Order: sequence, then C-alpha cells, then structure tokens
Amino acid sequence: MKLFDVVNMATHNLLQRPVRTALNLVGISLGTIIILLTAAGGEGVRQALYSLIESSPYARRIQVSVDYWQAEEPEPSEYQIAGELDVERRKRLEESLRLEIINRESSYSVGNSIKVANVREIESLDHVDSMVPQIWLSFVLQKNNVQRQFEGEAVAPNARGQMKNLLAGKPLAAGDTNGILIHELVAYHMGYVTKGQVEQLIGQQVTAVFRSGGKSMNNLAYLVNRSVNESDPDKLFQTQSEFLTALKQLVGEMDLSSLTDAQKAMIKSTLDLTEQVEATPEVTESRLFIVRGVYFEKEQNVFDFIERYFREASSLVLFHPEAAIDVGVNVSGQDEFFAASVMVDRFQNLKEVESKIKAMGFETLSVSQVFKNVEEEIQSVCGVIFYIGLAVLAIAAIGISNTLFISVLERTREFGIMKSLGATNWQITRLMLVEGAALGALGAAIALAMSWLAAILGGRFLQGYVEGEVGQTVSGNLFVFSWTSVLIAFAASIIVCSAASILPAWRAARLDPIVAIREN
Amino acid sequence: MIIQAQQLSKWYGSGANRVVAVDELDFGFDAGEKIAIVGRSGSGKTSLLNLLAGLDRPSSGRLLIDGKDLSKSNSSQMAAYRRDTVGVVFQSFQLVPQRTAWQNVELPLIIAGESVSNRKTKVAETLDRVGLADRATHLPNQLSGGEQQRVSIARAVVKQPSILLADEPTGNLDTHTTEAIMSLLIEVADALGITLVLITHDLALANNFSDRILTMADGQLTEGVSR
Repeated sequence: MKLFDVVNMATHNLLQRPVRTALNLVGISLGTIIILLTAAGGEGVRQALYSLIESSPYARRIQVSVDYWQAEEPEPSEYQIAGELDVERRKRLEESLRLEIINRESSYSVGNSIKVANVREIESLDHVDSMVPQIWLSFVLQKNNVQRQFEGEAVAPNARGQMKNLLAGKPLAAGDTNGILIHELVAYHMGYVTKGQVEQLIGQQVTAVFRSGGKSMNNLAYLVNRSVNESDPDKLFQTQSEFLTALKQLVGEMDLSSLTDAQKAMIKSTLDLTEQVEATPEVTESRLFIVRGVYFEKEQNVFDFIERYFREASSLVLFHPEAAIDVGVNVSGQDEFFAASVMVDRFQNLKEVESKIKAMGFETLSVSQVFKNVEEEIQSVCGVIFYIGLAVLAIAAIGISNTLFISVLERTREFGIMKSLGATNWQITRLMLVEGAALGALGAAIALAMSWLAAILGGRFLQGYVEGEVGQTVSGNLFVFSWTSVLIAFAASIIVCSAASILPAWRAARLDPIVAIREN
Repeated sequence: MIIQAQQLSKWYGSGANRVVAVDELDFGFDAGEKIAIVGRSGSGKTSLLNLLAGLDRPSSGRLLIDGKDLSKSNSSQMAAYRRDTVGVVFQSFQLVPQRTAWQNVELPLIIAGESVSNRKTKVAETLDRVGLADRATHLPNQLSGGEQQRVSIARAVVKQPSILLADEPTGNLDTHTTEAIMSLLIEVADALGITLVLITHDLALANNFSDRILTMADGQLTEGVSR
C-alpha cells in the first residue's frame, strides 16, 4: 500500500464521520493553540524585550568591577546533615549549610584592582568606544562668588543617555577634557534658575578646587560622618579639629585603668590616625572647566528594569573621563579603581568585549546577563503554559483513542475484508496510525490558523498596553510564529494523536478476518 | 496440480470438546479446473474454504499451492498468498459499505501497492467484464443483490488470481440472478484461466457449472455425489 493511498483512505474514513472528527479536532486544536500561542508569545516578548534593550543606551554598556570574593567550595562531607529527615528537607538544609560555610570561610578581599594601565588596555580593545573608571571627586565649585562643595564623577562622552536628559547644552564631546555637565540643582545653587538663565550658563567657565591630604574633604571623610551639614571644608576642619582636641583632652584626663589593653590600644590607634591624617601634606589644585550642558534626572517608569542594573552617574557634576583620571591620579593620588563602565560600539559586539575583559580577571555585568535573566523568567512562565497545552492535548488524546477504538469496532468488517484481500497486520496498523496522525495534522493546521488570528487581535491589544506602560514604541508583533515553534506544535499534535491511535491500531491489526467477516 | 492436500485436517477445541471440521483429506485440483464441493450445512465446507483461502491454518497435514506448503507460511506470507494467488467470493458479498463499486474493486490493487494508472485500467476492464461499467460510482446499498455479487466477483478477479473460491455465491440471490452470476463466474474463470472452487449446497448448481463434484460430509471429502 502506497503512503498516498493510506493517507487517502484515512482521510476518507475521517470524512465519513464528520461530527466525531470535528469534536476530536476541537480538543486537538485547543491544546495546540495553547502550545502555539505560548511559543509565539514567548518569542514575541523576547524579541520585543531584545529590541527594547538594544535601543537602550545601556545595551552597549559593560559594568566592570574587581573580583571581591574569594571563596572555596567546601567538601560535601563538610555539609552533610545527620538525622532522619525527608529528602527535600535534607537537601534544603545541606544547601543552607553549604552557603553558611562559604560565607564564613570566604575572604572579602579585592582581587585585581583596575589600574590606569588596565583602563588603557581596555580602551584599546576592538569595538570599545569609551572606558570610564568610577572615580568620585570631591571639590569646591566656584562661580560668581558662589562656592559650594560637590561630588563629581566621570561620564562617557557622547553617551546617548545624556542626550535624553539635557535641559540645555550638549553632551561632552570625545576630546573635550575641559567640559563638564552639571545637574540643574547645581545651576540652581549657583543662581541659574529659569530655563533662560540655565541656557546662559552654557559655555561659561567655572573653577573646581580639588584638595587632598591634610584638611581635604577626602581625608576628613575618614574621621567624620559625611552627613555633617557643613559644606565649607575650612569650617568643617575647624569643627573637627576642635572636636578632636577636646577628645584628646578628655582621654588625657580620663582614668583608663579600668579599660582592657585592647580597649586602650583601640583609643590610641584612633588618636594616632587623626594625627597621621593631619600630618598628610595637603594638595590643592584649581582647574577651570567649561559648562557644556545642564542635565536633570529622568523619571523612571516601571519598565526601566535595565536602569536598575546600570545606574547612570548619580553625582551632580560629570567630568570627561580623562579629566577625572588626571585629577584622581595627580591630585588625589588615586591610581586604581574598583569599578568602571565600558561602552562598546555595537550591541552585537558586547559579548566579545565582555569575554576579553573577563579574561583580564575582572568581574563584568552587562545586558547579556539582564537579558539572560529576563529570558529565563519568560521561559519559566512559557514552560508552565506549554505543559498546560500538553495536558490539554493529552486529554484530547484520550478522547481520540476512545473514538478510534469505536471506529475499529465499527470497521471490524472493513478490516476483515481488507485482511481477506491480502492486507498485512502492518498495513492495517499503519492505516490507523495515519488516521491518528491526520487528525493531529488537521488539528494543528486549524490551531495555526486560529492562533494566527488570535495573535493579530490579541497582539494589538497587548502591544498597546505594553507601549503605554513602557512609554515607547515596541517594534514588531508580540506574537512571533517561528518555524521552530510551528514545527514543534505540529510535531506535538501529530505525535500525541498517533500515540493515541497505537492501541486501536493494534486491536485492528489483531482482528481475525474469519471472525471479522462472520460478525457481519 | 495447483492445489494439493495431504492428510489435511482442521479441528476446533481440544480433548472431549474437539470438533473435527476437516478430517485428514487427500485431494488435488488441476489448474483451470472447475470443482464444486457440495455438502450439507456443518459438513466442513466453509472450514475447507477458509484453509484454501489462506484465512485459516490447518491443524495438521499439508496444503500445497503450486508446490509450496501454505501450512508452513508465516502471517506475512499468508497475506501475500491471499493478495496474489487467491480470490474469494462470499455469500454475503462482503463489500465495504462506505466505498463505491469502483473503490471496492480497487481495494485489492491498493493493498498490492499498484500505481494509480494501472488501477484505473484494471478496475475499468474488470467492471466492464462483469457488466457494471455504468454502476461504478454507486455505493453497495444503491446496488441490487446481483449487482453487489458482480462487484464482489470483480474484486476477487481484478488481480487475476490463479484460484477463485466461491462460497455459496448465489445463496442470497433469486433463481434468475443465480443463473446469471454463475454464468459470469464460469465465463470469467474461463477467460482468465482460473481454477474455480465452488462451495454450495445446491446440487443442481454444482452439476450445471462444474467439471467435477466432490461431496463433503463430516469432514470427509469423496469424489462424486454421495447421498
């Protein structure tokens, strides 16, 4: 029997019983629709997220940090739990114990810090647009007789994120080491309040006075709580000096005999530190900068999940990275950093650059991990729905099996005649299997058409909702029917239906032709 | 000899409940011969036909078809024998009710895996031979008893088998139709050189349409008519 004839006979039989076939198809289609929409929705949301992430300024960014944690994996014997426990609870307790050992034994030590040489090495990598080490600079900003203490940090030139948030001016250009960006609050403190005033500030010179050692804020930061409400370093230092003098006097007058040696040593080391800090030579350097732009903090919406991973520079004054490094190295004596952010030229090159940075011994964080996390979440949700679809298909399969059993009983005579005409057991089996597979294929085809329709109608609604929440256009449809998902749905439907017809097929093949013919 | 039986037996049940339907038969049929096996109901005629049709296996003895022992064949070889060597015409026609006359006649060719074009030619020829060319698209329930039996004959001979077995082929037909169907059977068997084995309880029919008559009684087969 040729396959064409088998398919033809199977189809003929299905069409002979239209109501039963239709009811079977409803069950099969329902299960397959769930599977198809799950796969298509998962792929669509994945692509939409991919597109959102790719269009984000953070898509090309790699957060580089030093490897802090050094912990060895304990031996399994070290976290074995004794006692009569059920398997799940034992596993849970052992995992908790393992983590406890790791936390206890691990050393919080800095691995390779990011040195200036590393900055240059990473900058020279292919596809790297910019490399911005994380430096916090404390300085006094002077303008028009206004001077105020601020903190600043470096920001990548031409960063797309800056462009979106500029109230006036433009982003820092690639070689513009004299340019700075200031927060609108800084402008306000300097007396530039209205939009017109802020625009006047663009292109104007400001002086930043950096101090280190001695009375500088950097050193004082070691000694006092930084929340002290005093921005003038001279006044702060005076207050602090008075406090320390009083403390020394107090300690001198105290009867320390009741203290332990350790407590005495602790007091002494604290007082020694204050003397050391005061003895550090103070470096003061004034530099002129030109205000290129005034920016503001963008209000985040709930979908800005990427920004939660990559906080943009949060300081109120932003410097060109080269200027920040220069000040850090030459004024603050800071020639190594704990973190940096790298911008690559294209999102597609992110992984390549990231792996090279990792190979240098640094930790990295990029949207590839964010994307991985999001993808895992989508997959887990889709996984659950997929299994629901399979369950529906399985229930439909029971119905199909039952129907095919009835069909075999009804067609006992037909199978008996076919066997008397020379049909083999396998030919009869194949006929029934193909009948099941034909039901599956037809059900999947109907499901595909229905899913496609549902995707068009539901996709538009979902897209509108997501765009409203995200605040930007989501490209493409949120249901994407990939060839893989269509093939999987068809395969699942055909396999389940064929499997459901195995028992009826076996029964049909076993029919004794004499009995089958005599029964009629 | 195209069919040769040696100590051929068929029994059902065992021990005290054993019923012998075919009892150590020895016979032989030549190619092209027309044999009528007559006997009363329960004489073992149909059991013998089932053995000859390859629908059942002997309990003992040998059944040689063209020198090959059918009793030693496995189920696939038995199916191949039914498909290629033998055609059967049943008393109750045994047509597939959902299939047209054409489709019923085509069925053995489909099972044999013949091409569509071959099938078309053979089915058209055979339906024409049995006088049903104009009834090809009719379902069995749209045909008379005689027409249904013609379809059944067409289906049995469409593959031009060497042996044609007819089990009470006119049992459900009136006298006039019986004559016509028997004439057709003989005509087709002659035209195609087929060995015809006719099973019937009608002695007159056996006399009129066979070269040789065998009588079956209590599982035993004897030459000629025994009373």
